[in-house]
Amino acid sequence: MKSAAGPDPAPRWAAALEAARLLAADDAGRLGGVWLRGPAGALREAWLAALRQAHPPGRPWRKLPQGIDENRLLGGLDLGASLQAGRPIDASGLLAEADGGLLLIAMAERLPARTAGVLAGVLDEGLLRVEREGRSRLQALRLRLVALDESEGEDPPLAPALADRLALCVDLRGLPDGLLRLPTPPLPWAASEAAAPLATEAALEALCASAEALGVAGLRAPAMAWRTASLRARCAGREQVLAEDLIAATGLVLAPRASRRPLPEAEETAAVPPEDTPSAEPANPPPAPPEAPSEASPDGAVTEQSDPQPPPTSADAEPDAAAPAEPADPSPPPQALQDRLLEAAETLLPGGLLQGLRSPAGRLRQAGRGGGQGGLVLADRGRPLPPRPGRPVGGLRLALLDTLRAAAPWQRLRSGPAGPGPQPLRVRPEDLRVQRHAGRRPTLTVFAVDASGSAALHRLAEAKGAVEGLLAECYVRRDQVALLAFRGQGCELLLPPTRSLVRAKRCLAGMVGGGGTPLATGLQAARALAAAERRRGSSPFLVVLSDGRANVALDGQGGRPQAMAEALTVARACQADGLPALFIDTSAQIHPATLGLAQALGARYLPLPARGSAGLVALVQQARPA
Amino acid sequence: MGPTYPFVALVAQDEMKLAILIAAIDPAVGGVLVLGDRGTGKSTAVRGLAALLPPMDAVAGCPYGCDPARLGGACAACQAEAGPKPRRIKRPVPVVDLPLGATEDRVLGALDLERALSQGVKSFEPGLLARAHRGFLYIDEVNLLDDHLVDLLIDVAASGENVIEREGLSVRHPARFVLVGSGNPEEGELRPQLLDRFGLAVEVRTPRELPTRVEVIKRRDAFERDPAGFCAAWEPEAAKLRKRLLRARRQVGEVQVDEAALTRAAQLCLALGTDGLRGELTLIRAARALAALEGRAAVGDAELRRVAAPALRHRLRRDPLDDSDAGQRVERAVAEVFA
Repeated sequence: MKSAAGPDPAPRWAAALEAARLLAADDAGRLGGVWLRGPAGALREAWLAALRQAHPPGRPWRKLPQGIDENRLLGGLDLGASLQAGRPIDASGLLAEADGGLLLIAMAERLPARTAGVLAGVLDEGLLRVEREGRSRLQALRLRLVALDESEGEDPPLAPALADRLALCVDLRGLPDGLLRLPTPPLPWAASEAAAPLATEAALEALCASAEALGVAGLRAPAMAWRTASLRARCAGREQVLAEDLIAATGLVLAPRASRRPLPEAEETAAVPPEDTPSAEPANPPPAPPEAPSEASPDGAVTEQSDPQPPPTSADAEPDAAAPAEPADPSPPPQALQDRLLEAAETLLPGGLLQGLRSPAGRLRQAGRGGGQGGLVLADRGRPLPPRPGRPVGGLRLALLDTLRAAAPWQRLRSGPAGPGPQPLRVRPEDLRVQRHAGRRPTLTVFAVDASGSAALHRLAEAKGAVEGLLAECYVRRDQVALLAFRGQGCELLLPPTRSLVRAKRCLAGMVGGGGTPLATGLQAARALAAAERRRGSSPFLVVLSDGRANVALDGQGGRPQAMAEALTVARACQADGLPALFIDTSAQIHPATLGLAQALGARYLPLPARGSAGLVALVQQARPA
Repeated sequence: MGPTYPFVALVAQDEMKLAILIAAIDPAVGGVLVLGDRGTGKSTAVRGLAALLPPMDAVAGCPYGCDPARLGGACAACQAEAGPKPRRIKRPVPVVDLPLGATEDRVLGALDLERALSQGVKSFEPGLLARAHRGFLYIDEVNLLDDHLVDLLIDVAASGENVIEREGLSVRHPARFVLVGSGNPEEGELRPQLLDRFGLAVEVRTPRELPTRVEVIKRRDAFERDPAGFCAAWEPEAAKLRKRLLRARRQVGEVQVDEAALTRAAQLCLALGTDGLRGELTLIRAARALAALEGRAAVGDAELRRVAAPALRHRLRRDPLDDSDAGQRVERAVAEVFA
């Protein structure tokens, strides 16, 4: 069942092109859009060109740039026009401009959760609600999104709230550019006038069961798959959904969201309690299926380690095959249908896909690289506070609308003798209002926990409790917590920065201890994580829990002197970075070497106090910079 | 805008539906928070509520829709002008959406810029809180809402009054509404202060049984094919529920809560160690609304049991080392107290 070369990429490319055509044909915007994963490049350009070609001319085609502000996105008050006219005039936002057409989201993986939430709301309701800048508007909106998601490896992908609402997933990662030499199937493919097909019990059952078998969470995905199948049938001018429609929809909607392999390992997956695997949130997936490949080569080329290659069912999987197989077979028995859907899904599962959804932990070097990729990240400007009277000096921005509001009541008093024509607006210095932001940067507490040796197990439990306790008690401050554990020869990011207690609990449940003490590796990992997070705009604070007895060097070799020297070097580097730190000594008695280490780190040093996580929480809270 | 998906056509999610109905029967219960998986009909349920509620009497021309029968707590305009017999109109109970991108001026209300600029008149333009008076204010993804807006909402929801002192305006108007929030805690935790302000908290999960899943999608598809027809088909069911709801609202005041029920409620809260008395109050209120909904004259163990989890699960002290979720802890306590 193994294949050195990996599965044939041609069906995946064909499915990608089909997604483009379906999206273009989805006039009603019922599919939400396409979640397009993959790096910028020739293949993505070709896909977008295909979409452009199928896109009806005259319909909007807009781009949502990174860092767009909410005024521009949603609309509000057009200040220039309002001032000129002497009455408020609406500015239409980008969303309204894209009505009926397509909106491309650049670097969708960086889309702030709020913006993603706004978009998700618009897709859900088909309505744009504007309640801002003095304007209140409700507008029907038919929107189709193309989220260009360039995340790779351990980078967090597109916000799940939005990803969940984009029916079609296209994954170009790992596909060779050589596919461009294949002949492109004819385009475009317009929706016909055929009536929407009636859902049959068998079809819905097959889709729901397949979603379950693939470990796809929620009910939106199977519902979306049905819509996709139904649209595909209509595009072909049919009023009946055939098996081939369902197969294609499974490949486009369900397979890319899979969190487990459905077919051959039935016994193994059965061993995993199904209740634990519903999260399709790729950033933080359920425990990986044991057979998931663990590595993909960095350039995205897929290395198939243990990719169960299904029997080549190319007729089914090739969505563009001009339906030679099923002449009129709308409802085969559900079980058979489901099996065929799953087979098709299996063919389309890209080799590296499950790896993308894999392991909650993630390797640290990748996390570091991911955070640093892209360089500058927009600094957090803080939450906005109500505007206050004042002059816009020293970096303060004028709150124009509020200034106008302040000036407006006085216009009659201030106006000169009534002349013909509109009166100029009279704004006095006391009317000026400035925008204020609460500028506190979010704090990230990074726990680097020594998980070596059997004695550490107990400490590990305390660290876990402390992480959860901190989250539970301090999220008033909207702080984040991350947890690294080092032991044996490496360091693992057990909990990526999060403020979700739910997620934290899930990640911490599987933490284990034992092995040597690669302290330098652990510190280095913490340092990289802190640097990456600082670039994202938060202030990291490091808490090290260790007995300070390094005995594994950076290269993974044993040897106390070398290991200690390296640990000291890395610790000094941390201090040079200006990383505030707390060193909690977990050993039974204070050792001068450990003290020296804490000093090199520039850390506050504390021998582990009364046992229990509560004490630890209190300690960290005291020590943490405000 | 087309019709919204009927509340009565929602499959499963009984706890959520019950909590929303309870809040509709007795707004004093203090709002509903719906947490859980994506795509489980959270928004659908709240939006479907609007069509379920019978229209209410309001003072004609009042921007806040004051209640003509109770002008005691009404807005300044109504108290000054309406007189003892104000003109009445029927209007739908408001279910107002607070979108994520909303700004403070639209939420609280602000100086009416249009009139100020064109006529030089200083007048107040009511915001979303005014629109929601006597109805529901719905925030989808409440965990993503700006902190400062959340603070404002908490304040107004608690006092039932919106006080504006800005831009030379000094306005106060009644703003009593049921706050309904929904969100997914995996995407960001809610602050405990906010959590505590909600009367009821329900957790929704994706149904696990295949037939239920199929039914959800089937109905959704039928609705999308023909919204009007779908709603018409469900209208008899909706009418029945509407009638029950009306009757429950009339009778909720008469439902008896005897000493035994009060004791049970107190025992339960003691066993769970909830802070303050808000838990007990909500528990009793919710149980009373449930009794009214089901046409019973008194609150008994059965009612308390059924509302215990939504009324108390979000008021438990967090125990970081206890992995079971709060709902399970409430169930355990219920089993002990009612043994």
